[in-house]
Amino acid sequence: MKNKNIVFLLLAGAGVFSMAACKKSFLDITPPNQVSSSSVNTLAGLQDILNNCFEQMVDANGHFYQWFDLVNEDVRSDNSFDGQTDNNSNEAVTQCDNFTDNATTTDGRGWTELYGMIGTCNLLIDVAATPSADVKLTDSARGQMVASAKFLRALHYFNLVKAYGPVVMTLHTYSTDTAVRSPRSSLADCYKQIVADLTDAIAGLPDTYPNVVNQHTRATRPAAQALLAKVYAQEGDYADCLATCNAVLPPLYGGTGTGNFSLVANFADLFDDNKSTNTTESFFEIQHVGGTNAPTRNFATWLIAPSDYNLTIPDPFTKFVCPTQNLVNDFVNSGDMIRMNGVMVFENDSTVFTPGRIFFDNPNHYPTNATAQIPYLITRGQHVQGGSYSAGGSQSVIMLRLADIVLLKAEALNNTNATAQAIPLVNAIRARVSLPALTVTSQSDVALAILHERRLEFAGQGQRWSDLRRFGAQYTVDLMNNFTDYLGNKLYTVKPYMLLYAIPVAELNSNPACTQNDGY
Amino acid sequence: MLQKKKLFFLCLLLLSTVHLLFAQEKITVSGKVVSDSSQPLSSVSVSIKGQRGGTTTDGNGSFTITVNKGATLIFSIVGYEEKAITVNNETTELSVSLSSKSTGLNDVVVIGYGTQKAKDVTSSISVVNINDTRQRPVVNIMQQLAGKAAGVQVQQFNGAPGQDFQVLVRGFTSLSGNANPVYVVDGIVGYNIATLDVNNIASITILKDASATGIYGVAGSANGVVQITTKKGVSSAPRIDVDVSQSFQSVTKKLAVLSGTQLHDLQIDEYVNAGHASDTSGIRLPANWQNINNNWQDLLFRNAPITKASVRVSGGGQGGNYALSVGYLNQDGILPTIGSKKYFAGITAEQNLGKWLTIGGRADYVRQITHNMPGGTQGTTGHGGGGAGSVTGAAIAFSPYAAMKDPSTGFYAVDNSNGQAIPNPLAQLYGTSDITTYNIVNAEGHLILKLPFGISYTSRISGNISDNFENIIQDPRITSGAAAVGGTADYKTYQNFTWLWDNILEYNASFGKHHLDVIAGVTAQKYTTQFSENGGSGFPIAGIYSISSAGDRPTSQNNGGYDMWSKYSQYARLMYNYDSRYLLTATVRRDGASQLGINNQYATFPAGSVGWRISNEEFMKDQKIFSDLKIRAGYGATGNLPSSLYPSYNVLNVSGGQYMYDPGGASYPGLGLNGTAANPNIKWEQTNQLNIGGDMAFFSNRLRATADYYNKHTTNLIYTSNLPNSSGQSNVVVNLPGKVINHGVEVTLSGEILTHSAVTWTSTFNISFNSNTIKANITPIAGGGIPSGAVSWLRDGYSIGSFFGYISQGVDPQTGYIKYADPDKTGKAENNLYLGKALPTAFGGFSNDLHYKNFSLDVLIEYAWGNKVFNANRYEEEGMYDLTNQLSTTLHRWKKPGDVTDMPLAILGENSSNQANNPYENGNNNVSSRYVENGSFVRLKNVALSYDFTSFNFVRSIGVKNLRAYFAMENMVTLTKYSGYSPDLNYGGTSPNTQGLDFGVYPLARAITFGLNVGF
Repeated sequence: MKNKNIVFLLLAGAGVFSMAACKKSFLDITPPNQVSSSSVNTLAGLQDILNNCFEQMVDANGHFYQWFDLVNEDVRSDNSFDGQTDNNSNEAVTQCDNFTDNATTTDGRGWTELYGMIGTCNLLIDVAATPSADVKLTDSARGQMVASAKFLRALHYFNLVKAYGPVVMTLHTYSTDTAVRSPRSSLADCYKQIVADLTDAIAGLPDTYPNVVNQHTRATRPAAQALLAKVYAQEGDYADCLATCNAVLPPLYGGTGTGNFSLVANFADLFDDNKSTNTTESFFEIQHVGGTNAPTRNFATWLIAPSDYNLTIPDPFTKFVCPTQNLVNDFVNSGDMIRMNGVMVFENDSTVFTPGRIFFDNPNHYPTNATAQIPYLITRGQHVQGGSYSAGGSQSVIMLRLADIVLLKAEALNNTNATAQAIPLVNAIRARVSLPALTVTSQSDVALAILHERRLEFAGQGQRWSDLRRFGAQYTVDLMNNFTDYLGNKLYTVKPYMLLYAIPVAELNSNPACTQNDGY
Repeated sequence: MLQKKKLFFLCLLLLSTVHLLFAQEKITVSGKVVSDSSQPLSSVSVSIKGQRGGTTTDGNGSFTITVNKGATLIFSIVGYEEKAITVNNETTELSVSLSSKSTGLNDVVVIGYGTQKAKDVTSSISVVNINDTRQRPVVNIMQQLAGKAAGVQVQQFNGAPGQDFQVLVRGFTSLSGNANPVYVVDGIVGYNIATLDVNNIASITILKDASATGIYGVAGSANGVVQITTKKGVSSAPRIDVDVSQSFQSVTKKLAVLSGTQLHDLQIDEYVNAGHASDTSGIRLPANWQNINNNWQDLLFRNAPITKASVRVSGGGQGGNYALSVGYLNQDGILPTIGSKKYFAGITAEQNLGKWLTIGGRADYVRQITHNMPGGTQGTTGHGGGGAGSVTGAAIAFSPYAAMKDPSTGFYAVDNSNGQAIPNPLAQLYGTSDITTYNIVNAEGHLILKLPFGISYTSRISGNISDNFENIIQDPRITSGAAAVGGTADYKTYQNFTWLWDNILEYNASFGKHHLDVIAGVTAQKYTTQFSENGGSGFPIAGIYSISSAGDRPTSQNNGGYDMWSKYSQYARLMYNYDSRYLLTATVRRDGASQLGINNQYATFPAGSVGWRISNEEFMKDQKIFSDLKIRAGYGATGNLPSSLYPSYNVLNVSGGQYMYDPGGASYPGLGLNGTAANPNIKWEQTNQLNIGGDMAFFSNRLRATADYYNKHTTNLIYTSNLPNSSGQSNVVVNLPGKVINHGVEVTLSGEILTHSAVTWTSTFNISFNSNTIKANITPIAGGGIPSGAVSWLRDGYSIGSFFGYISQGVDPQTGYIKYADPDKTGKAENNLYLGKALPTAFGGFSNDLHYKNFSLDVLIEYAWGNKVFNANRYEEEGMYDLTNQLSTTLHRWKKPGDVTDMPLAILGENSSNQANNPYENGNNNVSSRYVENGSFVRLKNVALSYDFTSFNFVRSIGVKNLRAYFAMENMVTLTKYSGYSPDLNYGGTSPNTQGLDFGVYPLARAITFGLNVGF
């Protein structure tokens, strides 16, 4: 009997406590679509993440590359102004134009969008860093996708650094509450990371993708080299910039690049809805399907271009990026009608487009007399049919192109005391638009000539503010303080700290480790 | 007596014929057992001395038993002295009176994983009196709790059939999580109470403090635990109980609205005041409009029946018992097309297999088909409706001069003739069919092994399958939104499966005056849900909604997937008392849950309480006032889980974006982060609760009182925190520093007011005060609102369910606009001022039980005060900013300078987004105190009068053991200053951040009921 008792007790005890054995694995329930899922770390999975990296450049995050860059670079500078009047639908643009952004400014300069895209690049890089069970995921395929993600991450960080100076360098997908609130790195460390990413990208990317028509929608080695050249230049490292320019430029421009790149003959084709796609001049471009679906059209067309290319339908919408009289004058005084008519269209204030007066009736920028010609930028799409943005918006946006690197090489040569070699490169760009060769020869005159050439070549293409800052901080501040409207009135009071934008208040509120830029 | 053979053919009201045949060679004894205060005693065990078998008394104290001549019957029940009566030929009708034991508190109450004598309880537990269940048209358990237990606030926030109630035990503890208590039915934790036929419930106890609920750990024990025991068979001859009832419901109230001509006057005023006196072309009046005066409430609200029927067959013998039940409930809505049907079937059985082993099990099935009120706006499908333009909103706002049917189509007309967005309420009801169908099966099996040394071992395994099918169809012929897309149809299937395995060892023993009860257990649980959604639009033939014929099947309507969670827990409890004088309870539970961060997946919940029964002390022996006196105190931890399922993992989203990799714009899937960062450190939300209370009884237990003070501090608040953009993610679920504090006092008084032999009257009164405060540094979280802004907010320093907005100072007699307060002298009307709270300061109930001879009368009153309601219906119905119909209160509107009134001027388009004409900068229809009303109420919840025919000979002669007929009235009278349908209504349901928002919600019904309870 006693033995029986013990057996009973043992049985019950076993029943109760055998369940203790299941423990951890029983509770470790993972979501079907978790990041570390083995089905994500596959050829198809990584491709889908990479797809998303590119798709984000045409969805809401992609607004940065559709028009925020124009606000940051053209509206902030002497190229363009904010066309909104009293009905401010986008105060951030107004603040950017008038240097009134401050410590309470909400984002408008791309912080949200660029970090949104960086997060997806980080995701791909992290997932690809772990061993995969997929035999189809070859090292070369994985390497190419990681290199593509690093190219894009460098592009996004470069744009952040240009706008905000040193930023928070988030390089991984974090999963704890603390690691996601990080301080800003030093500017040198930011550039170091961008250069490292691009170096990896150059090593891992192909020159071209076989059997792909839209080559320039993908990350390629020439695109990474072109971007790296720009990064070096912005950092002030003209020696490395020169070497990198030579690596990508074709022999015609003294380079060793093997790619089949050349300037398009007709400058205006670069902004023509029907001709700007897959040109020989493009290293990297964002193409849009257009049409009614928001994630696939170039939203900027509606915000910047006139409603109707024939300029017969009044547009009630006030444009965010409008060319200044100063820019128009520069084109006219330089005799550069080809490039002026390539990047903008005009309509007559008094005769055709009366409603336009409502928002261009701004004495700071344009006269309101009957003969005034009102310019609109068409660099991000030429028109929206029928006065609504439900159609159109299919124009490609070329992010990196040959002329940029040719002029950058000229700038690098001039900055490394090889002014004589720089001049023919500038002339090559001028020749396309039927302008005579440069007459200046001194290093300082050529430097100014290159800056001026870049203004005319890249007007309305999101380059000006960085070009000015590269030329000189004080020069930029003085230029803006001396900028006048057509009546000769000075418009801005600019201090050196305003070369950088204020860190958005939302970041500071949610990230105590992040500091505001000096002066704000 | 005589050798008898009896054959009964019994025709039941709604059911098939039941044949019952038995033959015995003995005498039949019946009778009634009452207490010394002449209260009928139910569940008294009637056994035969020296023999197996026996019976128990029913709810009226009646019993019938067949015994050998000269046998001795033993009557016993806890709390009363046992009594033995020998029966002979002459005494077949017994009247037995049992005297209560001097302690009076030997009743057993159900606690977590066991039972305890009431006198030894050291925690806060409410026993719900459910004697009136069979005489009320109660459709669910939550309704049965209303007004019955101190500290338990039950609110019917939506009157639609099939809707849940809000049950709050000692207030809201969480900012984001679930506030519902845990339901435990016959030991099955987290039982789906929708499957329970309320007629099968034997007892309900509510565990309120940490010492009582802590043993349930992380599964929401912070919200209290409702312990339900169902009726079991007893060892006796088969017994059949039949309950049938028929109720008639009607709306409690209708609101006075403008007539067509009054509306037209108002519309003209709106145009004139907006400066459009010369162009009133927006007002489109149908021909002959002055002769059409549709009161849409009259056309809409109907008298609706509730039919209930249930049959239980139970019995037992030879160490076993069983019960079988079937039930039917059909509740039509007071709005057409709406209603809910339930079919129940259940079986429970238990059998001793020798001395050592008992096995048992149960299975319940319910099928519920609910026709929901369509969503607030056309095209949305939120069950239960509500919000702007809902059916009940449109019942007020739809033009009185609009036609009911469109003569060109023969269907309900959609247009109110002014092209307004609020559609015909009948078109909404008939145009959208929103049906949910549940099939739920609960099954449980258990074994109890009696081990040596007084140890017993219980193993219980249970499973729950819940299939939910949703079918939502919008008819393009009647629904304006669906007309454009050719009708829409959605077919959604959700299947949930849970299994739960409990293993418990229990040891109890007494050593002299030391009494010890120890349990230890382990439990594991796993939940899986799978769903698939199919839908489409553009059907070629209206009326045929086969998805295969849909013209469009967008990805938003076609989806599928699965989710899981699991839990693994160990727990133990020690209960000790010395002479029932010094009492101690200590519990500990260790829970592991997959919903917690992997770094904090285990949580431990300790709790304990002590009690001192002073009345058991020597020095109390000679006093006559207290028949019982106990003080008790407890403290412990309880928990709540985050609602996110996989907090430890970063999760991906698949997008169907498009990028021009290749010409043609082919779509490629894109994988990205879903934006919520993983937090492997997330912990359970912890509520530490202190409870101090006392129980006392006076004058031989004729008057009893229980009082409790509690203080609940909830920390580690589960909160979704925004992340900086630089992290690449949008938010993360964290444990927020800070607290939600609930503290309060609960008092229950019960007394036997009259104990005369012919007339008895017992009464229970309870009152609860709860104060809720958020003490956490949170960015204010907006809850539900109206088109001009959020109404309900969670804010640091305020109660959950507080309203914020402008403070109205009435109508400016010069301009007709509302003046808003500027307390900080900013020169402008100030927003975000505190307007009151939706949670009551105090609430409770008062129940009365009267017996006079065969009559009984139950009266239940519930009340609440200090609660405010935001009457958002008035935003639409007294706003006077568009052309819709308004309440007749707008007849007193401001019309000319000098008018002193509380109703502002009528002005077209005047709302918060059109403020140009308002000298006070803000519109008349802003979120303001203008719409905040006092929601205090006293309600005659239930009155039931019943008559017991059991003592009539003719009843017995046809073999009926008991028969009772009753008439009951539910929600008959509500005394309140609230101007809407009912102050209980809330568009936000049980969400902590939307309380007290009455916005187009389905109103409550009153009901009269006739019913019969029959036992064979």
